[in-house]
Amino acid sequence: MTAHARRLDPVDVAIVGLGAAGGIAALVLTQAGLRVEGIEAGPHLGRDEARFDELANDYRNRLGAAKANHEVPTWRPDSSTEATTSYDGRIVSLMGNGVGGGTVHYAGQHFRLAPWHFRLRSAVEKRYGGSALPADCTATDWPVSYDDLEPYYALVEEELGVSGIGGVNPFEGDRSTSYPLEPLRRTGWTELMAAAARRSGLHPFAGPAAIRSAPHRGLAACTYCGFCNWNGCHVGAKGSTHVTVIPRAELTGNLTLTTKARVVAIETDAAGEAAGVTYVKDGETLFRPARAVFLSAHTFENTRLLLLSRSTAFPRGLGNTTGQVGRNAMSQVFVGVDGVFPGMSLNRFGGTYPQATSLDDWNADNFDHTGLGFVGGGCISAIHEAKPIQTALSTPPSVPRYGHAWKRWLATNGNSVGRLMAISESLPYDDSFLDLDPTVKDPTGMPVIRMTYRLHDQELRRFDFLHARMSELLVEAGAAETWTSFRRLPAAPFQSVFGATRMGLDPEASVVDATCIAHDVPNLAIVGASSFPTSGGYQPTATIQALAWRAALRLIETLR
Amino acid sequence: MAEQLSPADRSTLAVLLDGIIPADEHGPAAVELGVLAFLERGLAEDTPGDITLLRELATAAQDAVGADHAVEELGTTDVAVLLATLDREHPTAFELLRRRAIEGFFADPTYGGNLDEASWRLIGYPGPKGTFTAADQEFA
Ligand SMILES: Cc1cc2nc3c(=O)[nH]c(=O)nc-3n(C[C@H](O)[C@H](O)[C@H](O)COP(=O)(O)OP(=O)(O)OC[C@H]3O[C@@H](n4cnc5c(N)ncnc54)[C@H](O)[C@@H]3O)c2cc1C
Repeated sequence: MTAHARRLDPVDVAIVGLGAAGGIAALVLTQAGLRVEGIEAGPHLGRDEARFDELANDYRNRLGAAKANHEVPTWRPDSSTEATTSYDGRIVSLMGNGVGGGTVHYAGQHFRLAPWHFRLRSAVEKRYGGSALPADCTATDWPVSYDDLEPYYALVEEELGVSGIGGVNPFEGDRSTSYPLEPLRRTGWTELMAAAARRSGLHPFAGPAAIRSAPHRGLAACTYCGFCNWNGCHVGAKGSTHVTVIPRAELTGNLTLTTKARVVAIETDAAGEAAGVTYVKDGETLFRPARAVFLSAHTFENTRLLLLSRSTAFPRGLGNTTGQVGRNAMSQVFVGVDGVFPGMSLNRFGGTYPQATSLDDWNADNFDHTGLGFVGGGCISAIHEAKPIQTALSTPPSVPRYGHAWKRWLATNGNSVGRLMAISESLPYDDSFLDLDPTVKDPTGMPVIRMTYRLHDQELRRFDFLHARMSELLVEAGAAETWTSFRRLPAAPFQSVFGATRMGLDPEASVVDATCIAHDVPNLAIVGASSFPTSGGYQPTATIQALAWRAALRLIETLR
Repeated sequence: MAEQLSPADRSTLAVLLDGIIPADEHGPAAVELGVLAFLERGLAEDTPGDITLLRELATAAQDAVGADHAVEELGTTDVAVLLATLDREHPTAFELLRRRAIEGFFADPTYGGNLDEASWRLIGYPGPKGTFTAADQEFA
């Protein structure tokens, strides 16, 4: 146990990190009558603190100022290369800190995974044979199916007020209910791309968003201001947990919110069970005894806290009895293509990123992969929310990147550029893992995470394939020229690292079970994209929250 | 204490910035817009780590014109040649300056680099407003 910690009164459950997963857990646990402390490293930001400020939000990650910006992981492509402090010398998409976590400034695309994503390995081997996945690929089927998660997906959609339309996307899993709200407004741009997709024989639909198209449960609707992605919402119209589930959890009277408090260790007792957490607040070290611990601090911190919580019973750290913590990490790959539509005012400045035309024709196994050299794919979206700095930074390679010609091009075309983004599947491999950096420390003296990861052939080919499909689609819609807006990074943005505490049935090959409970600590839930065995071809948060709901129910059972 | 640019480096970078964002019918060049002041404020506040690369770039620019000349004396065409050389031979440092220039020029005018919303008018961005209507999102 950490020395010198002042002992506090016990609670039933200590939640570490009140973001997407922690917020859901707070709701479910407190509504079941459990006394919960939510311990959050960042502040409690009000919606009046939302700022229309692209520079501070999008380019300086203002909302990560409390913690994430000061513990940027180091990265290396393989074990024989020295790790560097972030792979291109600057912060790329780190997470936010504060009540609500990453849901404060996420874009709010809210996709369920498709049934296929949960059984990628077995489905691939069945259709394409045992050698379709490379020998060093460690992907496993998930220990849960789409049907197992479906009820929780539906509950989360209702709590957040998700806007969307069911039954239009032929590739989605069966839904027990429709979305609580109609899709976000359609626009000139979304309809232009939908028409082009239909002409190409594809199946476009209005992408689901955790952004309210109409008021819901007393919370406001979206005003399409154009500051969603990276920004907190100025009217509280996003499904961010600090405006939805966390206030509802507070209404029970069972939630204590402790902000600006950083958990430094999860403690265990002689029986090998979690005994509570040690955290630092206002310079003081405190120990909160708890009957169970819910760890939901995002991939890097989940991994770091587990590895640092060593004891005689757990010499390699918690959850790590079989040495699996940190293994099977993967970095989701974003693919972006822009196109210019000369003479057209596309008016993409307003609106929100997930106010999109999306399509799944190139996702999962919705197309024949024979001979392609990769499996899976990604969801493609035609998005809104073009902000000025972003617009100026993405010009075609045929135009100089500065000077007179560059300015002239922007004057003519700045409002005529359309953007497609794809979120591509990625798979884990033998040589991809997270561990503690042996030398680099954060300002508190804790080692930062070191990421060993490179894009493998599957990921490279999938990137190129989606890139080509998006370019074709833009041309079909009338683009005169297309180019890469989101280049193929050596790794990928740091908000989207998955795996490292993956779920599975076999304790020798995973860290948590099918309900996200640590194999070796029965009262410790570890939840987040860190639990994903494979990334899935969408943004992760809907699935993180469905898993969190299930894990919370499981802890309630355990504590009964 | 964050480090500051030397007067010589400062005036070299001013020339480079004015080459990256030159004056034209859409408005003045970078320095007049406030982009140099933006860059220096960044060094003092949120991007102090830039100093090394910016110095490297200023030195490279001064070396490229030779000891007998000054970057400040160059005409427009020579500045364009110099920028192309720096872009080719010092890509990381040049890209940093270009990026900061764009950030300053296109950021909210309160940051001091986007005088009179010049960049926003350039691309037709109406500026942040709390609501975009359905009509705002149709093709004009
Ligand atoms: C710009 C951006 C856009 C995004 N857009 C989308 C999108 O459109 N759709 C989507 O599905 N996903 C999106 N995401 C990803 C989404 O934000 C994450 O998937 C989600 O927030 C992860 O949930 P989580 O609960 O695991 O972690 P978080 O939501 O990150 O919450 C973790 C919390 O733990 C706290 N914490 C960390 N360490 C400690 C500690 N030691 N002690 C106490 N507290 C701690 C953090 O401060 C944070 O508040 C986006 C992310 C970013 C950055």
